[in-house]
Amino acid sequence: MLLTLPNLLSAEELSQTRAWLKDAPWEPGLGTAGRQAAMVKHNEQLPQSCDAAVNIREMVLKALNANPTFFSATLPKKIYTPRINRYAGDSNYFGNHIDGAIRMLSHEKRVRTDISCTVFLSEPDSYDGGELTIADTYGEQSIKLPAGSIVIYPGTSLHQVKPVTRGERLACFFWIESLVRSDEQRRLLYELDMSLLSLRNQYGEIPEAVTQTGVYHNLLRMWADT
Amino acid sequence: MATTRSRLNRRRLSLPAPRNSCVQVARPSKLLPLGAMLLAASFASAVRAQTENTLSTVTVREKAEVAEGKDSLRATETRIGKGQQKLRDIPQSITVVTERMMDDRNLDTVKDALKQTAGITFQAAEGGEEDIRLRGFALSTTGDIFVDGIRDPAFYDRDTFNLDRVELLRGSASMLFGRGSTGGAVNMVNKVPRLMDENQIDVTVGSHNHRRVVGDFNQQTGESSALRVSAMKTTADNNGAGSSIDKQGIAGSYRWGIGERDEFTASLYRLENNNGINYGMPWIKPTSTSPASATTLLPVSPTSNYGMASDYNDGTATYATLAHTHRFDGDTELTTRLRRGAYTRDQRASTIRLTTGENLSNFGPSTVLTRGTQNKIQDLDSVYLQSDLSAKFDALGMKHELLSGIDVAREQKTVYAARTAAQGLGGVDLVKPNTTVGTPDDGAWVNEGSRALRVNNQYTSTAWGVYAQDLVQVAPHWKLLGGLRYDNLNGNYDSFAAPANGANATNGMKSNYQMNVGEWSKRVGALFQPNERESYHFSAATSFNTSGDAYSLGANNADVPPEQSINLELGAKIDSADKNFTTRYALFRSTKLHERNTDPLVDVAVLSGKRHATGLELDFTGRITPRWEAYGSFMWIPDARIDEAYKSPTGSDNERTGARPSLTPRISATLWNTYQINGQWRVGAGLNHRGAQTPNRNPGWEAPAFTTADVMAEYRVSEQLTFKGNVSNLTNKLYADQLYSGHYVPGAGRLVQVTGSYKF
Repeated sequence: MLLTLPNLLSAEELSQTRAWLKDAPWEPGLGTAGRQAAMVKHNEQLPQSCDAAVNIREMVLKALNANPTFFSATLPKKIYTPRINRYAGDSNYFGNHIDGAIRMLSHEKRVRTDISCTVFLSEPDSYDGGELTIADTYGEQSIKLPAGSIVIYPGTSLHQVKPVTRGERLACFFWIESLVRSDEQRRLLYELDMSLLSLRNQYGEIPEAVTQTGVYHNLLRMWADT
Repeated sequence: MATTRSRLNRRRLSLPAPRNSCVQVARPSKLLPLGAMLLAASFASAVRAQTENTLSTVTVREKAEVAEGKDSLRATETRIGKGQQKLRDIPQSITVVTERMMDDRNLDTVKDALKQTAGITFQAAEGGEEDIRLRGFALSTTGDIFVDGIRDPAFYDRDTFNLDRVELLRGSASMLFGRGSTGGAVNMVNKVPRLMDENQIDVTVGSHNHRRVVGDFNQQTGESSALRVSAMKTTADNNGAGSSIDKQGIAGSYRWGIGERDEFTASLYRLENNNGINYGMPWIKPTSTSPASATTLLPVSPTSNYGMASDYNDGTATYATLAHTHRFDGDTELTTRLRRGAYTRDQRASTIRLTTGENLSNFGPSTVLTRGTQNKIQDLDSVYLQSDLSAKFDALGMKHELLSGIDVAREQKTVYAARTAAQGLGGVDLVKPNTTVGTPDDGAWVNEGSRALRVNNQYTSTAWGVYAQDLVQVAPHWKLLGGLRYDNLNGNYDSFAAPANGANATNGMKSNYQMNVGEWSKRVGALFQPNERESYHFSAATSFNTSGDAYSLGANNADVPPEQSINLELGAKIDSADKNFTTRYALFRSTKLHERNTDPLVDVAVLSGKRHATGLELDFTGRITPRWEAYGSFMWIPDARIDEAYKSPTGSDNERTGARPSLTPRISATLWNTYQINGQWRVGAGLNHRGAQTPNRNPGWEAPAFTTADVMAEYRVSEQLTFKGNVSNLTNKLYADQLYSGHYVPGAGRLVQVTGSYKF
């Protein structure tokens, strides 16, 4: 399931983000790439501990926290530390790859990367190229969203960031280990949840809505791994 | 610390809703999706009734990219400063040898691992122990060896099987550790249990019938608990320098509450050495009329053993440790550790000497070698309790990082001597026959087991110390450091004279000496960190050594005040633009005042009243490209001098005023590179160099400079299975590795080893 949510970050938040990134200490993006991805990765990342990275990820996490659709769509169990990257100049693309299945957090925690997320931080007209293309079961999709929007797509997909030929593409990306491992099941739950929401909005808490709420919970009980 | 952080963040994330400019929440719907109600406790204000007792999402934080020692040649954090600290925040030189390095170069002993740091040299005095010098100053005889930050003063052949890394702090460290530390301190960091299931078995076979098996098993036993067990067994006919190896070790550690408010660890360590010993080979002159300065090494294979078949070097190290960490709110933690250790050592060695008149002109297979007796039989028991607080807080408008602690120690050492037949009570006189150069390993044997022992001396030392250090961010790029420590040491030493011949007495006269010392140590420093890549520092620190550091006192030193040392250092730590590569630079000057070292063998006070060493250090470590990983350590000491010789009663054996101190090469350097050719193949090569250096007591000659080369090739069959081949000392260079005025211990000759590693 590929889903985009507009306006995760507000205009003020985006301008704040740009201010934080003004003198940020970018470093090559190889640090988080597996052996195969390292061959095709040509971008820059912020060190996790630098102020800009800390501030931006706090902001993004807050915004996610306040976004019900995001929760319904991803059913997150763990969110892997959001990172910030940049595609510009010579470091301007990330070839076709599948994200590593398990991200290690120090020695203590592991996160299975069920879902990949990208929050766009640059306006699409400020750079050329830089499309995120995702090869899903429905074919290849090319994504270039307004600043502040987020795209959520399965970690299982082959994807790439096309070369940026003008300007810079800034983005925040992270992975989610979902309570529901299967993308299909997550999609069913999301669609059920959304249609139920619409149903309740239109008709109120009718008996069918109560039954279906039960169905939602029972499916979740069946599929979720807490 | 990192785990604390993730806890805290978790808490922060579940605080009530953030200020909200987000369109999504402001959506017109009164209702919320079920998935959102289920999980997002954070916007509970909107749906409080429904979301009570619901889950909140866990946001997991990375550690700041801290690799385990296994993963990288480079380390960015250390615990040598007591609390966990970034290397860049310590205004002092630190070199870290990671497990990756130890694996790559097949470094099985701590001594080998330390050789991979510039400035380290070894004295050959008492045999198998690591009698380590740094910048020419003794480390082990002053007790400057630590395991997980706790003093580990016993003499034994330390193995690397349970080590994550070896850290070398250069310069004074008394402010943190108490007595000792003119040259620096060595901290060995044991492996800790981690929250994952990961096991590895390494099997090595090599020349001289070398067989080594190391197992490292980590099992997660619960949500926040894990067990780790390491075990090792090694045997070899020869270690490449004339000693057989037969040793085994096991270490088990259980850790629970990992990353939680209260974390506990209980661990047990046991190492047994039943090794052989090459006590050393005599020096030789080219001709009988050659000056002493022409003295050099014997032209014999380093693998030749001229000791007795009955010689051995046994030792055990056993210690149990309990640790507790309590994490307060904010970045504050209190760690308390209790360790009880018991160490035994039983060494029966032969000193090898030439007979009078032998020199290279008449040297050959028939040259006679005599075999003396050098036994070291001693036990050490220790108890340490220490509690260290590290806190980060804001006060007076500035950021503070406070380290503070208190520690208590009790060490008890008993040294035994063998009785001669004339002294009675079962004493024996064992005669060791001579041998010849052409007949190494001649199998000659005496019954070492028939010796009768008596207590020669015993020492009980009690000590306590208290310290505090504050690192204050005084301006955006500036940090100032100030620290103070007070130590109180009491030593109680009984020395027993040999019983008179025919007296049939247990011992001769008993002498008792006592030492009471109270001493302050200071450290100040300034750090300038203009950006994330650069950190510059200046530091000044003092340290002190007491007469009782090596657990012996005598009439001539019991009342001598502690030696004082001052270390000045101007240094920099600079990362490359991509931060994958770290370089370190330091200009240092170490000065020791009223020094009075004692030769451990002949009880002659040696060295000087004052000496200094000034030099330059340079280290680099990290990835030059994604495939090329490099490590280098370089030290240049152009200026080292005995400023004032110690006036000893025996006089003549002392080092002279104006001389360069012994075991202080002008240049020492080591280099290691690995290159990942493709997914399967990785190759490595390195060099190790030590400039010419004089043995202790400066007998008037230098051991020649040497450079050895190592190579490695690794083939990865699968993620689980890897094979690695190592050749160390590729050119089979003959060199003196450990020096003493009467003899040297050769470095290992060429060794070929193949290791298979299986991970599961």
